[in-house]
Amino acid sequence: MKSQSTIIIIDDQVQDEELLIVIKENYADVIVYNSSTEAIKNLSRHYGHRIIILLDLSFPTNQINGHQVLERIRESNTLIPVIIFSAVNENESGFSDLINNSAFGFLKRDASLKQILDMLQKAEFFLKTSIGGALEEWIKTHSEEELDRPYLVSVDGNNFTLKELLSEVRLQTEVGQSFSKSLSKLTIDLLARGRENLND
Amino acid sequence: MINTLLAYDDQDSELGAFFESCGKEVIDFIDNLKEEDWNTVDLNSKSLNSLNVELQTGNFKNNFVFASFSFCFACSAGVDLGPDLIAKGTLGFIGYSDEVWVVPIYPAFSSCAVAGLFSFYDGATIKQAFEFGKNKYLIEVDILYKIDFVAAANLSEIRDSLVFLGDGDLSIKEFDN
Repeated sequence: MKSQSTIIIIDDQVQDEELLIVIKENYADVIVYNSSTEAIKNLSRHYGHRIIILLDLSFPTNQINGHQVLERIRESNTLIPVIIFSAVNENESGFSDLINNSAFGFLKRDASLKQILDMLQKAEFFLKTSIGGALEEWIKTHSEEELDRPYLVSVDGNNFTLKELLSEVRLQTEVGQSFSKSLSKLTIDLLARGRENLND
Repeated sequence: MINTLLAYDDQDSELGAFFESCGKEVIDFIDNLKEEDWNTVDLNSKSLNSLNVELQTGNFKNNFVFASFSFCFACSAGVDLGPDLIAKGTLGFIGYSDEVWVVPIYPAFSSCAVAGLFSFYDGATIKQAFEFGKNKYLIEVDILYKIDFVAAANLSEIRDSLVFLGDGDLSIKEFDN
C-alpha cells in the first residue's frame, strides 16, 4: 500500500528517472519543482498535508539556493522534514548552516535507491510520531460529525474543529504553535510526575 | 451574612453554556450548604446591567467591590481586572492570567473552574483555595489525558494560568458581615 505522505522534490535537474518511478511506486503523491523560486512561492499550499521535502542545494544563479530555501521553510514551518539531496560537498560553515536550520538528513546525489527510501521512511516515522502526526492518528478515531463540530472554544469568539486544529498545527500558525507547545508541556509534565514512562 | 454576587454572560455565543454551567454549579453548591444567612444574587446576561447590580446589591453592607473576594472564571481577568479590583479595595482575587480555551463537551472544565471557590466557601483561605483549584485541575488532567490528550493539554494550560492576588490568608469568616 502506498504511503499517504506527499513527497516534494525541489531540484532543478531531476535526472534519475528510476528514482522518481520508485518514489511514485511508494508514495501516493509526488510533486516536483524544478525552480527553487517557484517552490518557495507554492510550498505553503502543501503545509496542510503530511509532507516530506527532498531539497537540492545548487540552483542557477537567478534562483535562490538550497540553503535559502531551507531557511525560508523554517521561517514558517518547523515540523516538515527536509532532506538535503545534493552533489555539493558542503564546507564546515555550509554544513553547520543546514544543521542550524534543522535539515532532517543528508543524502549524496549518488546514494542508492535503498538509502533514499530508508531516509524517506525515517522522515515518515518522524512525521507520524511528531505532534501533528500524533494528533492526526487520534483525530482519525473520530466520526465525521465529531470532526466538523466546534471543539476548542474561547471567549474571544474563536473556535476550532479538530480538523482545523490539525491544520493550524501543520501550518504552524500562532495557534498551532501555541497548541504544539501545550501538548509538549503536558507530555513533559506527565513524564516528570511519573504518570507516563518513555517506554509505555 | 455572606453575600454572593454571581454575574455571568450565559448569552455569549461561544461559551455561554460554559458560563451558565459554572453559574449553576455555584448556585447548587451554595443551596446544598443550607446556610440560612447566606444571600446569593444571580445575574445572567439579561439581568446584568448597572441599575440591576445597584438594586440587587443595595442591601449588601459594603460596596460589593470594597472588602470583598472576587473569583473569576473568564479569560485573562487576572491581567487587568484583578489588579484593578485589588486597587479599588477588593481584598482577594482568583482568576486566569491568560486566554482560556475550553472543550465544552467535558464537564471537567466547569468543575475545575469553580473548585477553588467551593474550597473557599468550605472555609479555606484564599491561598489554600487557589492551591485546591490548581490541584483539582491536576486530578482532572490525569483522568482526561487518557481519553483526550488535546483537551487535557488545554486543561493543563488553564491550570498554569490560574493566579491569586491580595491577602492569601483571608478566609470566608473575614467576609461574614
